[in-house]
Amino acid sequence: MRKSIIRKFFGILGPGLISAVSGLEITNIGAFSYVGATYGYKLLWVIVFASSIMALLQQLAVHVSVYTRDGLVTEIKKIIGKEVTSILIALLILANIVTLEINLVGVAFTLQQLASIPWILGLVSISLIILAVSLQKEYRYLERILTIISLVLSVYIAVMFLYIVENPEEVGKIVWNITVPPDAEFKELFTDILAIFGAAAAPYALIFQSSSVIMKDMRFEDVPEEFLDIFTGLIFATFASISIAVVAAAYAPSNASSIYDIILALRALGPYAVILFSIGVFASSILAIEAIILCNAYIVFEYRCSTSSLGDVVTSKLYSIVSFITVVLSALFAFIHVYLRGNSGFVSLVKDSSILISFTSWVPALMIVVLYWKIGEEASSFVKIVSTLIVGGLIAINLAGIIALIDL
Amino acid sequence: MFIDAGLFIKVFVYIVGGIMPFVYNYYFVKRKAAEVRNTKEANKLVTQSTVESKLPKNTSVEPITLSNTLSLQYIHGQESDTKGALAPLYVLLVIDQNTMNNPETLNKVISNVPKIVGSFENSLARSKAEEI
Repeated sequence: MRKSIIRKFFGILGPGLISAVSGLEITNIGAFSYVGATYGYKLLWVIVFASSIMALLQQLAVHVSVYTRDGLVTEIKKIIGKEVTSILIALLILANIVTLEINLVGVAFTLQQLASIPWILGLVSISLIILAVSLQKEYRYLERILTIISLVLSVYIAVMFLYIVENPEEVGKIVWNITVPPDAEFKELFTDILAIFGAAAAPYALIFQSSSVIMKDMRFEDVPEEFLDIFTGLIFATFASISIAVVAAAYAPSNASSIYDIILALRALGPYAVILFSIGVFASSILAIEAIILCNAYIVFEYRCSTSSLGDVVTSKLYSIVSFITVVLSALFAFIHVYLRGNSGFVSLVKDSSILISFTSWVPALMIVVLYWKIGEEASSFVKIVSTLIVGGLIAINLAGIIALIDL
Repeated sequence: MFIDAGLFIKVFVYIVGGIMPFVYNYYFVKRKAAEVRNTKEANKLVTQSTVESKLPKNTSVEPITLSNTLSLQYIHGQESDTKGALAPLYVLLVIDQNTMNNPETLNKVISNVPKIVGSFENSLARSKAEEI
């Protein structure tokens, strides 16, 4: 009995930890480190709030896909027409390119920090490697290796544990700040809250959630189990994100701006900090980049051919064309972004990108909620109303964010 | 002791807008999935209770005459005051000629009807009880 409970616990712990840690790309690490270093524990609740909303949207994506048996793009095209859908998917592709761009910059800057390789050279080399890997089409083996390597990033969880063992009085503060939004000038923190939403959003995850349901030919009876997986994912991803913010709050300088400042948060690891950080970020960023390229190809393919099979997408000619355009555009965006920002540091680049991703994060959310309203009695009225309010809120705060940024 | 209204609103929005829909949706879908599973089980029983027989060679098929009807006394009415009266349950048996010409198989099929209806009644009662 006891053995089976322990086995069950590790059965959940293993995959949960792997998916949470390998999902920690440089956007998340940068944004959560910045938030932790600058505001301490003050914005921990935003991480939980944003992750819960994402988890609800993932649930709805699964529910909708089991009901419609078709991809999100195909279904939304039937409802809102080809023209409006094309605008939405263009925004979604843009969000993906921005995510890819900041990952490229992150890896290039990390290489510069680790081995003094000029970031421009690093950026070009990484772009070429990524293009070569994605054009190879069959990279499942490499994906497994990268997932294992990215587990190195669990050092953030280890460092957080060390910190709270040494400072047990911090546990109460952390739990309090996660549970109760503290008094703060939200107007001042507005763009930073948007950045957290952008870092937690990962619009491509929703598209893949829907595609995986269709590929697995999931039945409605299996949906609760899938929801439990999403719940486990939520717990681990939030835990990993909070550990980054807590570690940064504890050890990173409060005016963190460069990638070196972010690495400083891991100084408890001594000389190994830079190497472990670089290896972890390199692996997780390449994983994210490959997923983003595939997502862009998937969206374009589904829009044109109305198919939801990832196998069809990878073997198509379109995949190579979309991969090439995505990588080239991302590299170009990366150059322009770094050039425009000058020497303001990596943290401001991450903040810009996270805010931009947040601006488009409502696109898949809107698609999912519109489809959820269409499934009739199988949908809960309470969830329909709350999800509509959430998407409305997301659109409103992002519009307000755009206005605030223009004013600035 | 006064409750800080601002704090209360923040915590309320945080829980109702972020965490509660996620948890509620899980239980909502779980209940719906249980209903679907029960219906499928009942349908499976219908499929399992199908009895087949083959028509012997060189046998002519005679016209069928309905000689008797079977009345089922079950609580198929949903409300206690309409048990079987205002909401009668109609059972349609689709029997092919092979079965019709084989009295033994025909008996088996007809004797299975109450069992099938019973399973429907049980699943209905179970889902009703779960709702309550």
